[in-house]
Amino acid sequence: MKEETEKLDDCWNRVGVWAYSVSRCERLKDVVHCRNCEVFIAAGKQILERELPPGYQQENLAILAGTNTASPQDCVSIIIFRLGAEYFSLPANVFETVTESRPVHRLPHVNNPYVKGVVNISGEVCLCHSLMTVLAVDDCFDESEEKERHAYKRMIIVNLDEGRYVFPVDEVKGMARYRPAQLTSAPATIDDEIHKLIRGTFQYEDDRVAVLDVDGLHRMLHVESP
Amino acid sequence: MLFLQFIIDKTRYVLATGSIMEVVPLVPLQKQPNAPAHIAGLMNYRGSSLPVVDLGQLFAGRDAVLRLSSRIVVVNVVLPDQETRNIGLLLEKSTEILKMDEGGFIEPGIENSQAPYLGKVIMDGQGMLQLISPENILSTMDIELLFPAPSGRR
Repeated sequence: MKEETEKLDDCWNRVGVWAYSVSRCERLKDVVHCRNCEVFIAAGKQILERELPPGYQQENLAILAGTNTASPQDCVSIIIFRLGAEYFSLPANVFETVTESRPVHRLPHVNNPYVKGVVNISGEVCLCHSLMTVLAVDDCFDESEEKERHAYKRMIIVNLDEGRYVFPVDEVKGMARYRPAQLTSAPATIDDEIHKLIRGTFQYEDDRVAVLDVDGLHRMLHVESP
Repeated sequence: MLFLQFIIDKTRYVLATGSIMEVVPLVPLQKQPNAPAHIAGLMNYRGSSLPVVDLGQLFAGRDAVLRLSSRIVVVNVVLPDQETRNIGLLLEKSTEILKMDEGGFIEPGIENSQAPYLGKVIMDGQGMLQLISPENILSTMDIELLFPAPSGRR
């Protein structure tokens, strides 16, 4: 108990990056910034060693006592991304990485409409498919609005049934969870082929998000691949 | 594999995250008079009553220190009669999830029949970590106390 009440040595203010003194900590050579340093990290964790604030336990009681509707196991984790003006999602477990947008090198004499070209993903040459073409999404989105919202174009790298696919998307919104019961079927007005690729839609915040079918997508792209 | 680390009296232990249902913050517990000291009490877990085992009592012979870093971990245990039940474990200083290679765990070289929940150990830069198997935390006596078999089954 005694060690916890000892005063913290705020070396980051004394000889670290927030210090005014000329002498600098030896560790800075290796870690560059105090926030990368073990000492600073350990000190930060000390915050969690505080006494419980009054009412803390009661507050948690109210949260935990609530009869939770769904256990986390019933939920499906997905990552939501935007194409044009529409939101789509794929299960989080098929995602390999999300990277910034990279130049796509077009392949001449490839008549597959879905293949955009090849792209360099950390040194590996990968085929890049256009989900926009697959899902027939219009590319009519106001770009100025995107800049205002700080939306960035990304590339998502997904593993569909052992096949690696790269898709450029207009924005990756983040992760979300839904319960299968929440899904409603996609509007019947859309094309039959595309309808098969969408398992359903659900409401996420202000938007309607379509959940893509992994197997369907893989089958479609795989068959069409040369 | 991912492991949840907790520290009791400067000794570091880990729980495999696979057995963990949920990590919840501290809540007031319903004390159980005359129960063994390591049964911290019952908690209201989403409307059901969940027994909570105080690992401070079990590992250090004193109540777990209640700080912001102390948490209750809800784990799934398979009882000897093959029934799966949830119990809560009251931990101290559990602020970190570690990513470690499962193959790095070695036999500790000591078998303590008094503490069957102590499992294999792994070394890292700061010393040793010992794996805790939640299955063995409850003794036969605890199981009879907390999950009494309906009459006629025994």
